[in-house]
Amino acid sequence: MLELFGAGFAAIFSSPVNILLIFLGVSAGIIFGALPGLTTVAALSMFLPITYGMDLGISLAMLTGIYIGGTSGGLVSAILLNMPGTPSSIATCFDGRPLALKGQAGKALGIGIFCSFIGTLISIVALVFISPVLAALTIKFGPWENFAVTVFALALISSLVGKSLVMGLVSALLGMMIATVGLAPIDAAKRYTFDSIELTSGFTLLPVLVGLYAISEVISSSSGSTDKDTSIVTDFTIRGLGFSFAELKSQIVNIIRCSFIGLGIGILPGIGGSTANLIAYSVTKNSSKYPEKFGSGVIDGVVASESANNATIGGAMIPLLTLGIPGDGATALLLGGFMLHGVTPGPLLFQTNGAAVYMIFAAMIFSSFLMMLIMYGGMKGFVQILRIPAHVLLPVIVVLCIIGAYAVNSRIFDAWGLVFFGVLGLLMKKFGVPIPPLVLGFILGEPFETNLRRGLQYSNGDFLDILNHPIALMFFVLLVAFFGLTALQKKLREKKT
Amino acid sequence: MNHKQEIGVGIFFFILAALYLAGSLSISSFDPFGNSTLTSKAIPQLIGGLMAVLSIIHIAGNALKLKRTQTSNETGKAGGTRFEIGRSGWLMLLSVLFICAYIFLFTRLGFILSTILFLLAEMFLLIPAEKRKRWAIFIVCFSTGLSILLYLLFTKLSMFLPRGLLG
Amino acid sequence: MKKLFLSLAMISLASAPLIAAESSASNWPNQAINLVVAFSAGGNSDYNARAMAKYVSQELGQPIVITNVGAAGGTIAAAQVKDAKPDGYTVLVHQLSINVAAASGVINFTYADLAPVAVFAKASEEVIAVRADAPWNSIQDLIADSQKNPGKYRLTANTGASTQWIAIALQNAGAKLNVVSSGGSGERIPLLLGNHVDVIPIQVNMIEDYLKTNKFKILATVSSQRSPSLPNVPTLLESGVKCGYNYYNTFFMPKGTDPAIVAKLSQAVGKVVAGNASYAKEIEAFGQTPFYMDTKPTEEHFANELENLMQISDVLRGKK
Repeated sequence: MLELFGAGFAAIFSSPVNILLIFLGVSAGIIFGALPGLTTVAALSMFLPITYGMDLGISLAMLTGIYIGGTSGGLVSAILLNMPGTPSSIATCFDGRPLALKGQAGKALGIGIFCSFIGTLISIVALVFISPVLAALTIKFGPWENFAVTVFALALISSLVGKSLVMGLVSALLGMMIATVGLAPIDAAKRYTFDSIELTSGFTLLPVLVGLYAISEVISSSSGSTDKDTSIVTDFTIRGLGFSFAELKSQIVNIIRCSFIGLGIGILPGIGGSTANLIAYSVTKNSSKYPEKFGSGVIDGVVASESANNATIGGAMIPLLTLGIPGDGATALLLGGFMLHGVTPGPLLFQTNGAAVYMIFAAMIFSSFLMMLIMYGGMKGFVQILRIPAHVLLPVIVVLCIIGAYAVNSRIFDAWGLVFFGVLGLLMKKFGVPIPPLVLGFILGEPFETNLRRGLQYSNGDFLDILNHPIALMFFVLLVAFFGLTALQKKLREKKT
Repeated sequence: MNHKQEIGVGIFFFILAALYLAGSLSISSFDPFGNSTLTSKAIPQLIGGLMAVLSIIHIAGNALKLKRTQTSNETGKAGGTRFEIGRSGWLMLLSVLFICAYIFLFTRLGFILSTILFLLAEMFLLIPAEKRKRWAIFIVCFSTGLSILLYLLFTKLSMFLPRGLLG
Repeated sequence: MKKLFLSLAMISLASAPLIAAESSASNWPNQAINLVVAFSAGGNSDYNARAMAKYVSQELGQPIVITNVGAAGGTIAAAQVKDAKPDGYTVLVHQLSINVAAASGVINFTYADLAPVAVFAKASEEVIAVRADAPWNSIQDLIADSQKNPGKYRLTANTGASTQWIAIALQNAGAKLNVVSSGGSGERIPLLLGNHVDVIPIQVNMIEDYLKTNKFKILATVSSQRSPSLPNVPTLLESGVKCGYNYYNTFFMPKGTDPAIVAKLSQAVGKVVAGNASYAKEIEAFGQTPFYMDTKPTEEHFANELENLMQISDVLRGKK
């Protein structure tokens, strides 16, 4: 294995062109990730055709570089502008933004970058060493198992609701409602499409997310009000990497736990890697000694979100490389990258294209280091964004968001979706309805329905068939235990004080 | 938070849930192989029903609180919650309108021209009036330059942006 | 500020006639062609479209810009191109799915509302795969066993997709399978591996590794004729199941496009497929052989296929 690794690194460093291509990939990924509206998937689909003419190894090395850069870059705009650059960094806003408002943007960025790096690395280690074991686990997941995981994730919404549990749940239901527009799973029945061919294809995540966060933020900032929540931060200081060793030490358990959450969610196709950050955030919040401080600017929140989202990378690569199954939009494009070179990933990939696979592994490790270097190098530059006057920055963000929404499918409908969700986000903020549950409900609504109905189909209509699926049952037990423990912890704390 | 407003929010979601449930009735259920227990109506009805129940709870809860605060504090009238569109409201409204106009023109005028127009309009809208003169030249150059740059960049990256008069 | 808008408008008006392209067949193409691929980047249609675009654009002397409009099984792309200006500068890449969508009522138009140009590539065959340890060695075995154990074996099919055609045809041939939904072809492999389902339709190049490692075996191909690469595997039609199709990647233009332009594009495609060695090399590395059908046979193919699908349209639409 070591020899293969050596050969992989040698293949990269044998030519300066390869190094340059990976550098380009990582940088482009970071830029696309950091700009609200432009996502990792957009970057990958734009660069995929460029890699057609390259060799398999280097083209995939460049694409994974984009993937790693893109997943990491999102934290910049999440922290500085309160706009998650990609769906993967929604939860980074929750505490990253308050930190920035306190003048600690540097700390939030610094620890976020570091956790992105560690999360990626942990997941790569899992990918390299235990992917056959994890792949064997993946195929155990049928409809009932996926249903159980989805219910588990949906239940975690309750810790993201904010002040009112009822309104939080209503928001999650609203998200699920929006997800039902279009063709239904299983039987492709038209729902709420009003005979419009555009509505038939439903809403995609990008306009929903970018509308709710970025466009609504732009509109409310354009009011020119000096409201503390919407004004742009201008004071910040950065020393060194932005955070202290003691702070890092206090987060070690958190980093490892959230990396494993991200890894797990990445491995399971069909849950959606973009939920990893939200799930890790709520788990961290629930198991924290000071859950009430979350949302006011504790680094735990940034750490949770950023280590989890990057750990989905290695996770999602496992079913891709060992079984040929893409788990999300990004890995679907990577699969395309393989197919275009006449290679279908599967159990024989390591034998038939071992050299290319190890070159990809080596490139992933190299890309994570590059990502960290570029982002630390650019950190001082990133915060300069805050010095750009609002009247220049906000219009540019709108243009980028519209390009991003349009780029996915060249549909002007998605740009209109942006405005619709922008106004919706603005109204929700005004009337105190929390936004994160809506996003999670939107993402999980579809797998919830699909897997429930599939499970019933597979068992010829017998819901109790779920009892024959130990993994599914385990998730329900885990769910009960998790909330039981959280409640117990809360009781104990109340007794103490 | 003002309880009256909360009741309003609850009523809004109740009406939404009711409309959504009404809409679910017209979903055609379709089962070619006779083996799906739940049709495509089931989940929307679950979602709509839950939302209706939750919004009633929300309305009732806030109505109770409202009653309590009113009896205990008869004089505490909530003043100043009347909705007024001030300067900031107009700015927001105009921003939304400009974005809509931009999207409308996006495919009609092509990317470059529509983007220049949008950037010009939005920047001049947002900039404080007293700075407008000093920034004018910068804004014009910046809008034009950025639009052309973005167009060249993205079309080079094998992405399709609407071609127009200047594309 | 007003002055500025005015002058901008003047400039654009003045330059408009210079840029607006005069479209007639004799000088077509004199600007870039927009190729709308009805499926997302990285899939089979996308790959074939890009490979062909590279060589056809050399042939035509104009660049081809590729757009992926992948939502809703390609129906959005088809609708977009149907309503585009028939000036020869918008071309659609679609295949069988447009007929399935029309027959199942997902769209209210058919391929005939577009102008078919040419079939420019044929995707690798779809086959019926089962686990290697399954007790059946032919479609007949499967049908017979399923009659003894109705509802026990699970076959994946997606509503409004070509796989549903297979399911309907199998049930019509007497099979008593539990037809379940699976999602995209990538999701079917782990479902079959993990014993969640028993029979899957899938493109053969996606399961090559599983065939080599003796995890899966093939019961039949779905092609209308025996495939040269799998000469010993019977087709569904031979097995008495009335379903046979191929994924023909096809160029379409908006209806009303000058027939001379259609002919010009079709000839250019024909030239690349027949005579371009580097194109052939590229396609063969992808596990395909170059394939071409001129406008006339293309039209006939789509008409035939739609007719076959319309026979089961009531089932596709959920009417019984």
